[in-house]
Amino acid sequence: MKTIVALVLVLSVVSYPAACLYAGNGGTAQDEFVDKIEKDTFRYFWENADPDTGLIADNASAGAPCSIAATGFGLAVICIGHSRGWITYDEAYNRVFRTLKTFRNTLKNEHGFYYHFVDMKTGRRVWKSELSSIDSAIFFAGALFAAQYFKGTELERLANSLYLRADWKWMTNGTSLLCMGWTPENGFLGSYWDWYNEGLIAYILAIGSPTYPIPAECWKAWRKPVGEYGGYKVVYSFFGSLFTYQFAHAWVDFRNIEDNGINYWQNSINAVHANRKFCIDNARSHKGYGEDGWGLTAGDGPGGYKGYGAMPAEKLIQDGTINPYGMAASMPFVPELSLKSLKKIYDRHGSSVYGEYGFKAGYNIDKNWFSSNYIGIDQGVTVLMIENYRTGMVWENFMRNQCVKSWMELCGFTVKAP
Amino acid sequence: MKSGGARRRNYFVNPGMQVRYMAAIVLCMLLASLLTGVVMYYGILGRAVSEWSAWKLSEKLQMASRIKDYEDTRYGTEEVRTPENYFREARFLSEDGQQSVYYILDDTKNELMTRILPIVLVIAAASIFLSHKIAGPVSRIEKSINSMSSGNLTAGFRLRKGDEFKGLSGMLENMAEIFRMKIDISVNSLDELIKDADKLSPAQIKSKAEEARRQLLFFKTKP
Repeated sequence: MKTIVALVLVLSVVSYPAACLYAGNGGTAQDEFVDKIEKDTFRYFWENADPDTGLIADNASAGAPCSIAATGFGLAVICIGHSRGWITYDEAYNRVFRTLKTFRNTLKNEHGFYYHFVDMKTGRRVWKSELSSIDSAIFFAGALFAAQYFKGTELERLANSLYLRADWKWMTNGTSLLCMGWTPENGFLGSYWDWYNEGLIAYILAIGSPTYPIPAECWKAWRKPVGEYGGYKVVYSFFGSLFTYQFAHAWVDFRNIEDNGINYWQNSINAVHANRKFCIDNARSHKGYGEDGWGLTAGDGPGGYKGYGAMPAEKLIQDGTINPYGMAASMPFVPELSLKSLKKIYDRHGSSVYGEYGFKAGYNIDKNWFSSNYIGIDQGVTVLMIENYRTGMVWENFMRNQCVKSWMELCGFTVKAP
Repeated sequence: MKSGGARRRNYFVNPGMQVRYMAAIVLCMLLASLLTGVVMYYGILGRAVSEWSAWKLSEKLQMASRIKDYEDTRYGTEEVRTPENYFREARFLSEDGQQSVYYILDDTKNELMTRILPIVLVIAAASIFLSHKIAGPVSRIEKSINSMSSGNLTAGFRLRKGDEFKGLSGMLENMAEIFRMKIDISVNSLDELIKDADKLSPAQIKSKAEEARRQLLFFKTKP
């Protein structure tokens, strides 16, 4: 009897995190709300893509070019759309395959990397944008996810071949850090991925690459500064923007990975709590901040796109703007807080903050400003994180990639038992 | 060295034919130029008008501002207060404009290539058809002359309908006919002479031989 009780107890403890996380499919009002956000946000990627090239717009405004990062998120979002039954297998497969073919046949690449912004119809570089390591990495992440989702098909081979072309060693420009980019006019940019931030995903793909890897020591080359706010200890990013704690987590399941005492999953949870605490503490200065007005992250504001963030950070930018995707993409970290706050702002501001493609890019109560736009990468991380919260499907597929396993092995990470 | 004797003074030697060919060549060139002009005019003008319309410029201005913000956020360049930094949107717009011009010209060139190729093929086919009107008769005349050189005066110079050199072939046909006639008469006289040599008087023999000689003397063989 004692053994059975102990077994039940152990099983309950072990299954607790999963039961907590994989929710939102039960038909309650909350589940319906989550489903609505995910489905509406999915439509951004389905409708804001060029039907011939499959390239996805940077944002929903007229004349916006394609962002290869938004397209990378889009590849995963389309697969999610199929898994949820919003589109058919053929629709999903054809759209993703067409997009990958555009990257293989039409887009110009240099050492396997792509330009940040390209024309939606022709795939040509626009705005003299840089060959971007992080945006290419997000595209590769989407392609690798799709490769696993459509395993055993021609699409899998095509997706893998695009990733294998990337010469990550070249992108270090002879240093131990990944450079942010390169232009034909001026060569390598002066900025490197030298802090904890969304660049993690680029390092993971670079170290795990079977063709042109960078040494595992590069993982130790970037700064991991530790700060504290409101009692929450965080390895923080330069601007303290919440997206820096979310982008890599949309793909990689960090829950059980230990990096010399750092658990990036717990770190993101702490960062979200610190962000919310910061907003509560500053609620007097900014009307929109508070218990349900948090999630300071890079996004559109009344004065343009800014790297909003909260403490701990090296440099703080804040003007009372809230970008709702900061809360939505925190769903796997703090499900209850995220859902409660999203519902609150949805009920309070209605169509001012929510529209045909889910939550809009931002709002600022102090200045009575509400964005009417949607940004591709914001919508992308929202769908992926909601799906991870609901089923863990993105993590499950992405973690199956050999490059992720190689990265963990080469960096000597210990996998903590759940 | 003076070569005045061989110099051609009149280039308009066959006005009818030369005008026809001039018209055909000019028409082909006009067609190609017209197509090139239309493609370039509408390709460049149409795209340029759309590219720099007020609506498009407004979109571009917004995007230039967004790109600047993206760069500031990613590279932390917001606080760099250089004069150049104040007008980065203008630089983005200018660079985008240059790139647009380049793409418009590049696209027009590609469009021209795809459109001009069928026209070149049509012109090539037409030129083969036209040149055949000259090359055909020349070839036919050469063969007939070769045949005549080997003694066959029955080779004709008849040309097809629409061929050039109809006058020349007529003259050659006429010449061949005269040759045949002269030689036939000579041969007939000699045949009669050989056949009736026993019955003919010396005067008749002489008359027949002289008739044959008279016909052959038609051909001038000495200067």
